[in-house]
Amino acid sequence: MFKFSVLTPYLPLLSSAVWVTIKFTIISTFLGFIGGFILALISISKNKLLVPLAKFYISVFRGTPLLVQLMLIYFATPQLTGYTISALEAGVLSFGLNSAAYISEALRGGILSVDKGQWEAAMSLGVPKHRFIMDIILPQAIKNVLPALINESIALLKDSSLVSVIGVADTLRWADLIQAKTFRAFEAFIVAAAVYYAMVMFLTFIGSYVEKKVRVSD
Amino acid sequence: MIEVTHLSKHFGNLEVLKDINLSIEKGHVVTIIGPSGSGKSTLLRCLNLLERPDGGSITYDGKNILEPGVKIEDIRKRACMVFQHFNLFKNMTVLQNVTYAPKVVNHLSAEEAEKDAMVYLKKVGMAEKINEYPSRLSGGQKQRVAIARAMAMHPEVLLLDEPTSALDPEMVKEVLDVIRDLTKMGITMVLVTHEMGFAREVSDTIHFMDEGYLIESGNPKEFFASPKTERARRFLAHILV
Repeated sequence: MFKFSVLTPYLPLLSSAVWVTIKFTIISTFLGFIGGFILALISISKNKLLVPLAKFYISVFRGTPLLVQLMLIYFATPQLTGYTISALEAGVLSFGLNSAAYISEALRGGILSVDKGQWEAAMSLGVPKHRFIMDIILPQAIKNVLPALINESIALLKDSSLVSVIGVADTLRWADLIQAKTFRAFEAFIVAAAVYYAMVMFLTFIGSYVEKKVRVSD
Repeated sequence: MIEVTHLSKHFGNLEVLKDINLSIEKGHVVTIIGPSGSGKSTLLRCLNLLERPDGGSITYDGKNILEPGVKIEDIRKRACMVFQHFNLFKNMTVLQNVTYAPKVVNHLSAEEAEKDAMVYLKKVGMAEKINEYPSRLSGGQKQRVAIARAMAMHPEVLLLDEPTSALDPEMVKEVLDVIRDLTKMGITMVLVTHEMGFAREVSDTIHFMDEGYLIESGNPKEFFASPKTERARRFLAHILV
């Protein structure tokens, strides 16, 4: 009843598709962390101009569907700027911008959860704020929200399958092509699902390893 | 060295410091006592601007630190604080806790900072634990490290905010012993404490506060033997000295 052997000719294609998924996840997680980091620092600052801007940014990216953001960036960028954005670029950009909003909220929560005494101790020794936030507050904040951050990258990995709708040759796109060619939907999609599952498990494993590492100070 | 004049501070509608006047001389140990909520800690925290007073002045060597343009970090590194709840940096080892501010604020090299840190860590008896994280230390050990951390900044005045109040009784002595050693070194100190016996022993001056007012000041022997004000008499009658 199952004929997984029909997939054999397409396995090299699968490996490049998986690589696209991995690359995509890594780059957008990286962008998301950088953006989230900056947004979180703005959110806890007292800058009267930047704080509302950051709040607005976060509410827009959390308040609209990722798929809409993706399509908007992919299809509207050429119209507005004349620049023909590639599907991969559009994907990475929209996912990075989107996850920045979520990561910044997680980080902000983490920063606020750091004991006020840590701030006071650093201040009372004359350490400038920008220094101790980097050296004392953020390391503890990241530790506090590490599970949330790992969840965010897992979500990014899974949501990366959305880019197949704009034609990026990722893992889901591969399955879609195979089922169109071989009329074997189950085999194609179950393999894609298994590949995603394996990657998520790998991330989970990395996550718990990192968590253990950072708990040395507990 | 430090002059506090007409100092006042509000938290919302609550007036926590009312027209406080006192002076702290170089090399003296000044102790502030009084019931909970009397404003002792707030006064102490004003001295290194962890709290910003609303009125009055605080001068360090004649210079008002409340004037605009005074860099807040420059004051704080001269008046380092030891907290009731220790507040050791949780993500740093004992040695890192002590060397961090000297490196960042006083621009010491790692080597210089460590050498200096070891001097103070030995003094507080924590030289054996330099690579431990705070979570592995007892309360008394944490507080001793916190004292070394403050001392490593070579502050002109050491501020101690109820340094033994969060400790288990059997650890109070080890911390008081360390503080007593420091008083013998001639370090200027402002101490907020409920340890009356200790206050009487080490202080040059006692300030008694209640409800935001500085009620009575004097030398410890006279204050504890015959307080001048009725309020201080009642306070002393209610505690075991």
